Amino acid sequence: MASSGTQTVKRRSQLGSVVRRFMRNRLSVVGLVILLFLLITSCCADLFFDYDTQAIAQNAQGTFLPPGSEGHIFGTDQYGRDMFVRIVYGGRISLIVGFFVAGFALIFGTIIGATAGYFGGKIDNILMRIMDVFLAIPSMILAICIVAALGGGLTNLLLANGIAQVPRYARIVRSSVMGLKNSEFVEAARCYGAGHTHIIMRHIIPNAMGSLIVQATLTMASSILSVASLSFLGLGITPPTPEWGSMLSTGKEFMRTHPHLITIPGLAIATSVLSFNLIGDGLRDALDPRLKN
Amino acid sequence: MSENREKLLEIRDLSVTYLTDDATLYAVNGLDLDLYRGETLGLVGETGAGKTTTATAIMRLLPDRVGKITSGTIQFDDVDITAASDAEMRAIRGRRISMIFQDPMTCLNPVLTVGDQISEVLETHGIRDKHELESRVDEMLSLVGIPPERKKDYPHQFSGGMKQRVGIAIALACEPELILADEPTTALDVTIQAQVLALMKELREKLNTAMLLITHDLGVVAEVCDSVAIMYAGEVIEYGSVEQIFYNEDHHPYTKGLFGSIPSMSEGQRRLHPIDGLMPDPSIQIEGCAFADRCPHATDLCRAEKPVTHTLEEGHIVKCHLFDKKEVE
Repeated sequence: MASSGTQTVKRRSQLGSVVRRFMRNRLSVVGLVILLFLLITSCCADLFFDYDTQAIAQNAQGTFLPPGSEGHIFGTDQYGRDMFVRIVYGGRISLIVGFFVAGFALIFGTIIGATAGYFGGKIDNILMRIMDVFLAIPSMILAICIVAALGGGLTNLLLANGIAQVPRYARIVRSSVMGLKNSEFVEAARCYGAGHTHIIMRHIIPNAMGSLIVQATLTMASSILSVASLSFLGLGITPPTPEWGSMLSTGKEFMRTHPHLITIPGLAIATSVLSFNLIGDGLRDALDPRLKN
Repeated sequence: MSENREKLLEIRDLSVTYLTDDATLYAVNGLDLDLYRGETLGLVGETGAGKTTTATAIMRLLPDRVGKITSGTIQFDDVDITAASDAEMRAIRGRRISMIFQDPMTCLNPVLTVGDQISEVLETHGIRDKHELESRVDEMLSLVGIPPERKKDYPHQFSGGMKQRVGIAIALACEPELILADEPTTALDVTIQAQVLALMKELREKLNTAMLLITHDLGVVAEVCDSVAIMYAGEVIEYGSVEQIFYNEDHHPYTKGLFGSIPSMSEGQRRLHPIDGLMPDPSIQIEGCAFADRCPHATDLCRAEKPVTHTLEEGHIVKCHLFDKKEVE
């Protein structure tokens, strides 16, 4: 940035002020720290642990070790597998699910919503009625149907959750696009000869992004939950792959005798969901231009 | 005025209607307008006279499905705007005709830097080279008096007058032949108004751009325009050079009313003489003269028959029955 010139202007980029406002919210920073911790541990898991021997291999000698036992901070499960390693590897799946589902819904929801909102009329009607059909079915049931039809596995699970989330995004994007398309800067863009695609991509969507980012963090949280629920129901990730929901599900048989089998994955789910929600809250405040200062 | 003026824009018998759910609004009714290369035409009239609609029609950006050009032609240089294809129009907008907006606060995109917004216009019209873009952006910003290093700033970091300068830079980026300025100074305070007007005048002379200046401020007209068209209820009721409009004796009663509504420094008048009444409802098609109900000289003829145009002097045109006799004489 230029520092010379007749006048010195206090520069603060858009991004800079958003970051500053986000950082002012203590709770969201806590959320961000938790998320970063989860990201780093699950990304670097292979450096510290061996998936095949520690997360999957059974060990008949050391079953049901309580948390805090030597070498196993979170104890071991009914097959003697280390709970900590399994939680770390399970985090991978949860994070993949969170980011993928939110990304998938964000991209397709934006395309559909922006097309419907910008062009209006028949296109709007057709697209949004299709979205309404999806919205009419509870997303959990929709996801169950899709998984039941396509079979389990991570890919199908991601698709099922992603598709179930698309209509929500389409609605949000459509409504903000409908407001933005009549704004004067869009008219100004039309006046200098910009085409429809250019106007949508460069003028409308960036202005609608704020509410979408917030929604995306909330979707990440809810999709982690819904994948956990699907796994809990036996429709999601299949054993022996470590996944928080399926760990809960298998652990529930030993709930009375060995409560750590369900409290630990339960806490993992709760923490990650909480971190996303906190980040979402903070982002919503940080991105709201009315609270600018 | 020189004799070899080249006509840039010729509007003949233009009519625009807005079709809403419960009414058809006749916004522009048989408008005639001429604009010559390098000159400024002031389009004056009260709110709702159809000034902005005329500009939007020239850009062919009337709202989809609602606004419609029902008759007339708009001839811009060699292009018939009413018949041009969408692609042709996109190539003209910004490149050959551009627009300056009323409210600089809302016509800039809040999430793009001003430099990006200027280079966008250039990119749309074919300049792709990074260095060329950069230097053009710098050039445009310094042309309107903004330090080029501020191109990385966002609109909210500028004041209203600065934003309007950015708006002007965007409008001038491709050196268009015609600029439509829709009340470019209304949202600015008086000192900034003067600056912006002076800037526009200077740049127009430098680039030899024609300008259609929409305003309801007669002071602005006197300052920057070469000719003036007075609009009332979607028609041009008087057209002439600035001198003819400001100094000639004979005028349309509405023009007289307009001038009666501004305080004069020289004459010792105690009270202003505003025009009584309101503009007619645009959803009704009037048979006679649209101004008849508010006109102090209205006769039965005015209410029954549309007035025709009378040429009072070379280039001074009035649409009023009062001058029916004069021309005969």
